[in-house]
Amino acid sequence: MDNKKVVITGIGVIAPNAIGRESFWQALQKGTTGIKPATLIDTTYFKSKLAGECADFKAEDFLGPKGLRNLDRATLLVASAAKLALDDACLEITEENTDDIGVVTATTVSVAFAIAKFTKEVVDDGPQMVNPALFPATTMNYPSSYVAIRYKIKGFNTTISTGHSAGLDALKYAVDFIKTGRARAILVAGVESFSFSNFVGFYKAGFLSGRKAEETCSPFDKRRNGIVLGEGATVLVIEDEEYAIQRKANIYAQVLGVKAFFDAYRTADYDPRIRGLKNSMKKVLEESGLSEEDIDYICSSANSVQRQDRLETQAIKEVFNIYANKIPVSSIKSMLGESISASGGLQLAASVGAIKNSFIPPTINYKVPDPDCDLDYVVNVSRKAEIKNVLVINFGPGGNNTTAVISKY
Amino acid sequence: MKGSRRVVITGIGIVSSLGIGKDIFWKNIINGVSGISEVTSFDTSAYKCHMGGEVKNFVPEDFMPKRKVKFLGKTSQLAIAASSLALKDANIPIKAITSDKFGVVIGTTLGERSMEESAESWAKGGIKDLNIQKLFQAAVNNISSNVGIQFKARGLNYLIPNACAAGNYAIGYGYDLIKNGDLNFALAGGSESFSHVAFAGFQRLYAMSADKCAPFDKNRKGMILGEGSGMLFLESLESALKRGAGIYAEVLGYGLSCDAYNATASDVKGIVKVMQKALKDANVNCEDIDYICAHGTGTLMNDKTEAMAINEIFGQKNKGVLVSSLKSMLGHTMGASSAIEAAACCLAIRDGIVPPTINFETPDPECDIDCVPNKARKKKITTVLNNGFAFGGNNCCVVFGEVNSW
Amino acid sequence: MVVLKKLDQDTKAEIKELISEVIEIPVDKFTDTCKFVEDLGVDSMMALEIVAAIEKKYKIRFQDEEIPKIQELSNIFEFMEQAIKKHG
Repeated sequence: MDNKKVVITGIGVIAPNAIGRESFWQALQKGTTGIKPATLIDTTYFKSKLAGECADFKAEDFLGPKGLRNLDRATLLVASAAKLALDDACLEITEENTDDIGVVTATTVSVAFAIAKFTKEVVDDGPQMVNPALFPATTMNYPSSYVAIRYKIKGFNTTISTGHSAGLDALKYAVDFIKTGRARAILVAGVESFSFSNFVGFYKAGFLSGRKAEETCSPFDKRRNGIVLGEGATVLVIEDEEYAIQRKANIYAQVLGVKAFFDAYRTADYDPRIRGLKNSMKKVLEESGLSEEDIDYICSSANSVQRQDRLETQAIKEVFNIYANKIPVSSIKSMLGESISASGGLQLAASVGAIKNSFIPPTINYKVPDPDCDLDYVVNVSRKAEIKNVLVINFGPGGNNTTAVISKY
Repeated sequence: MKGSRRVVITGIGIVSSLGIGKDIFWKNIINGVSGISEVTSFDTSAYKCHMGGEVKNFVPEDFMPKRKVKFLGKTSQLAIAASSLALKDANIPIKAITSDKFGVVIGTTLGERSMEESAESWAKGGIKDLNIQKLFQAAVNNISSNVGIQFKARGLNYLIPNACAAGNYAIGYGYDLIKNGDLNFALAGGSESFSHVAFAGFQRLYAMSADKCAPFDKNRKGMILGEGSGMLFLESLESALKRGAGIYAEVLGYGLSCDAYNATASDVKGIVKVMQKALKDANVNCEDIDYICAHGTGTLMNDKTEAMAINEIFGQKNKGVLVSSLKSMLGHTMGASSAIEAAACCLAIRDGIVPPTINFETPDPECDIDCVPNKARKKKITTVLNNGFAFGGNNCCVVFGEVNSW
Repeated sequence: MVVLKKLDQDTKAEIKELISEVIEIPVDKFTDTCKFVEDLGVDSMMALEIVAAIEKKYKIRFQDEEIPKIQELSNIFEFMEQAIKKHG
């Protein structure tokens, strides 16, 4: 296979605890939480009240005052993050380069709101009266397509909806495309928007914290009892290294590898053998040309679910062996909540920050240790450290396991 | 730089309004049979259109354990059925390939009907009417997950909701993954169940015909909605030859483009680009293409744009290239369409027969192509271009070739 | 939702207001004869949205053949007058 190097040259972040790459990195360093009582929806009749909302987000600040009225929240978030990323990468899309630039977007659950909105009008007003402008957003590829329409990006446009692992799955798709020369620069986006539809869906399905115990987003903590839903959008500009050098781009980090495997066990459940996760971690190290001891930080997908955090810990122990409790592991979801397909991008952005600013984001809200989760989770306070190689994990119920290695350039 | 492995199709599974199983499907296709009938999935009395390409006589228990059926959304069921047929067709026992090199890539548009149904329950009766089982089924990635679980495919498992071209995206990426060695085997294709949201949406865009789909016809009135699943079993040429598998065709390459123009309307420049990129990626010239399996939705806009783009590329050197639209018979099966059409491309290569575009009565001077009107045509087919153009200007075309020729 | 009996000046102003909201251009910045596509940047989706909003509000139906003929606000008024006349 090819030895094309893939680098990250731009980052746009809209997160519950910050807007913009620099602010995001600072917020992570400070351990600032974005989890608060929900304001976008009314939680009166629910036991769960918290959410990781991008409450300060105003689309007009990024996209101008016009043309936004029919855009759903996920589209607004990702289009805004795309603007930040393109500016950050100093990448101007022109007629000359647009065919070499593409967009791949991770999103899975946000569409529920658009479908609910459209359906409600069909039910209330009849199919002959429903507003046609509500239809396009019912297809999951709409946010990604809008980014392309808005910024005139013509190389290709793909949406990936693999739930918890979609963020890194989109990265893998993009890296594959760079390596095979299908594109020279790619916007790797991830977005989920917080809505009543998602909140109720996850609540009724029993996933949210607060139904049976104290509501908290506390990865690895003994008290953990479910997720707090979050939202957010990231766009990473990744490029073929040569292309980046040619256009004198600032290079943040390199993507050494991305590996995806499936547990083929049960939907919405965890395979207790965690074969896919372990396999993914081992193979991504191999692909990256690294050994276990080369990893300086593991950006975990732990999300305050009993089994998730425990199984991830177990997988890390089995793969990293004697190094497992020497390598710091932390969960930024402790500050952001579980944003499903947006998580991967947020974790990647955080990992680049760790490398560039030499710090490890903390796992906050940690009070009660769990004997089954006994690694170094960098609890509550961030830590200064020289970070060269980060292992990023996307793992969740359902069997998708994708990991990536990001490295100092 | 691409890997050097060649990727071939050794199994085809189809669940469609023209039959369940590739043989009955193909027989009906080449006989120009219409799969369109009166919609039974939901009440269409409030609509002008009452017709659709629904799958008939589908018995999920034929393809999966009875106890599992109630846990699976319809789109998953169709995908599992088509995948099962593809594996059987490829003559490959699951035990032989279950591994982390056996992956699944599936495309769709609206995903599981369970999400629409939940939305409907909510709109009509409120939160209390939400069915938890349906909520669990609703997430779109259940489709590819359920296929992966059923066939113990532990390699990469992707769901690509690239709307009307999703099947091609899935097949294309499956091809990439086998080429680069990530996978040795892949189930790639698309699946879609008859969507109320799509039905209401398209008719609200004035894109839906009241009775039939007549691609490239001067008086065409629009699309007809369909459902189904098309799944291809892909493996390397070496693997297929080694185990003596029957080979339908080779995936020679594929191209992608994005119009970056409009959410629902296509742009001829983007369509021209994607076809050119597909030819380039496949390392073939336009003169090499014997047949173009058109996107051909039957709308005024799509067919005109597609015909224009075809003439721009093929007009000089290959004006007589045959072009036909299966949507005339199946309706628009959305996320499944380019996958079912890909299967037809493989069968066209195998049998040297080009499917017709049915319902064709009046030529349209703005669609100046040979659309193989109404009757299938015998012709040696060695190379086929399969077009897929989706909402949002997401375009993907795949080139298939006869193995011996390349 | 209003069942329209006649197209008076007030109703016309209301309709103009409705369109102004969809196209995000203030009412005083366009006339009845400004071309939707060429002058006001209306795309196909916006046009359908305008038609849908009017149909919903006034319980009136534009004919399928009329839709592509809607080039400016005066066309909308024309078709609405015809529809009102037809249904008396």
